[in-house]
Amino acid sequence: MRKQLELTLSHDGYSWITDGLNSQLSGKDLHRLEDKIINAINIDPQFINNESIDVILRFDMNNFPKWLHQYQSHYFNYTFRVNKRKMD
Amino acid sequence: MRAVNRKWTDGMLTTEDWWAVWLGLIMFFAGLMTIWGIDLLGWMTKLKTWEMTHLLGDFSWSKLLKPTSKSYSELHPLFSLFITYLVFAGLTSIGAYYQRLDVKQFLKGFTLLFLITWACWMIGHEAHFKAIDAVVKGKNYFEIYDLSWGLQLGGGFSYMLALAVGLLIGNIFKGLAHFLKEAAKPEWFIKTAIVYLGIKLGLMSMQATGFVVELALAGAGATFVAYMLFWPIIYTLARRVFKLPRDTAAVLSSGISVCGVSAAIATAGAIRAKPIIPIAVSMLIVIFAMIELVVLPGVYTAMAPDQPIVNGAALGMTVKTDGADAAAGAILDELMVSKHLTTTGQEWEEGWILSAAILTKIWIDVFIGVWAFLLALIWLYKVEGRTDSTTIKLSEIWFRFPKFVIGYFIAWFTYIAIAIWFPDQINAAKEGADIVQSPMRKMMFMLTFVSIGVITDFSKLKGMGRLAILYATALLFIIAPIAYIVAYLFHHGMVPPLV
Repeated sequence: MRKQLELTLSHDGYSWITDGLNSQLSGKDLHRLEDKIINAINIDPQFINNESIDVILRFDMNNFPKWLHQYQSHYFNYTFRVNKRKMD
Repeated sequence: MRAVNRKWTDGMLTTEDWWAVWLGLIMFFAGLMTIWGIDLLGWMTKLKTWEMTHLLGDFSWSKLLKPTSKSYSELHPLFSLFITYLVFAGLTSIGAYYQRLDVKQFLKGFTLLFLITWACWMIGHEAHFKAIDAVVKGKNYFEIYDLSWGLQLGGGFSYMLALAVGLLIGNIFKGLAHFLKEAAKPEWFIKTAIVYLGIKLGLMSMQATGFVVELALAGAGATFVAYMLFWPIIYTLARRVFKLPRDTAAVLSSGISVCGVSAAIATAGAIRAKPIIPIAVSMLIVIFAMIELVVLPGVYTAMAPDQPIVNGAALGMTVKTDGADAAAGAILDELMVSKHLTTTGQEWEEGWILSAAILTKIWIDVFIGVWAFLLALIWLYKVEGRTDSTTIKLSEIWFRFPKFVIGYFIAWFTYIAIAIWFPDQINAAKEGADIVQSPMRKMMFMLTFVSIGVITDFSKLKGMGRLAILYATALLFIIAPIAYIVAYLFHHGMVPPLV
């Protein structure tokens, strides 16, 4: 059974951060953050019955200075799939 | 509250881009009411050309200002200005509320911006600055006021004065700039003005359909040049000569080649760069756009006074950010129309040169979402070499699409539709349209000029080093010359109709 998990993404100047799971996760690049998200999903009981989870990452534009919002109001969203069977 | 995009309707009430559509369409529909004989907008203040000694000899506000429509002619000029303030302060404050700005600070800032704007605009209408020694709409103000000298800049002086005052505030009186910052939204103001300009383009389309079609097609050509010619050249230069990292080179290339800040942020998002990269590049773009805005209209007017549409389209490809491009186009329009009038006695209709600058730019803007989407795929699968199930949805194109363009096209095509299907209503429609596309649009331009100056702080160029040198090199030796050649190929010999 597939499930969707939506997480908000931000950047503090050094690392990418997401706090949609039980704890705040961070990674210097998005690959490292994705690895941490996969690990967190694998040990999270709420996903125990799901074979795969589509993780949707949505960037929070509040990370940009307000004066820049008038030029562009979207940074990026993307989705990656966590296949739990493969992880196990 | 977080600002993320989920649904296609996200941002409709919270982004300035959508609010440009709403402000634009509110006035557009109010203007259309003249078809049924209802004048909802005639209170809008219009400025008059005045002369200092004549004014001081017998002071009266009616020598400076008046309501636009005859049906509101009984209004005191200052009351007309007060209504203008109330309507625009009210509408923009509602927009500021939904955009989650500090409404109290926005209103204070907007009030001061409004006063500065109108003061500059009034001064700019003094005959020694504005009047041209030729008959304009049946009057020669140079002769009426018996002037011994005059700059003969038409409406261009108001724009240049507003810009100079804004820059002075932004770079010298930084405390005041900080006070105004919440309300100084040049992109919001200019996008609203561009929606109003859609009405003018609609009226122009009825007058010279072939001309407008040619402008639109040439805009498509400009888009090809921006994405397929400028971008690869600048990217190669950034990588090979300036040794910039891949992500910085891509973001800067989009900023310089395509449509400025919005392109830089869209590209950075597409390649998932750290936010600091587009933020730094954006500061650079805003400052360089200001330099282009100050320099290019005068240079093009002096260099090719007989190629108005070429000059306008070249600006559209060269000047980044919508605000700076439209502002530069407005100055160019005023300067070229005035110069042509003083040298030949023939009056080109205003707005055509500006429209060439804006239409070229809008074409480029429209495709930024598609460009960023393609770049995202290339980056993900080719550059990063991801083979997993990471996906990017087509909705990214919509999230990056410039929404104000929707308002612009609605206004444009509605007037074309009226002309085609209800030709007997066109004069009635034009009455309302003229209020929106002339004094209202020009006021939004004036607000843009002051605001763009307020938010431009040249001291931010410090520490930009290689990026600034690359930007200047690319602009001077690649973008500006190629843009001019392309604009020349498409538009040489095209001139606006005579009044």
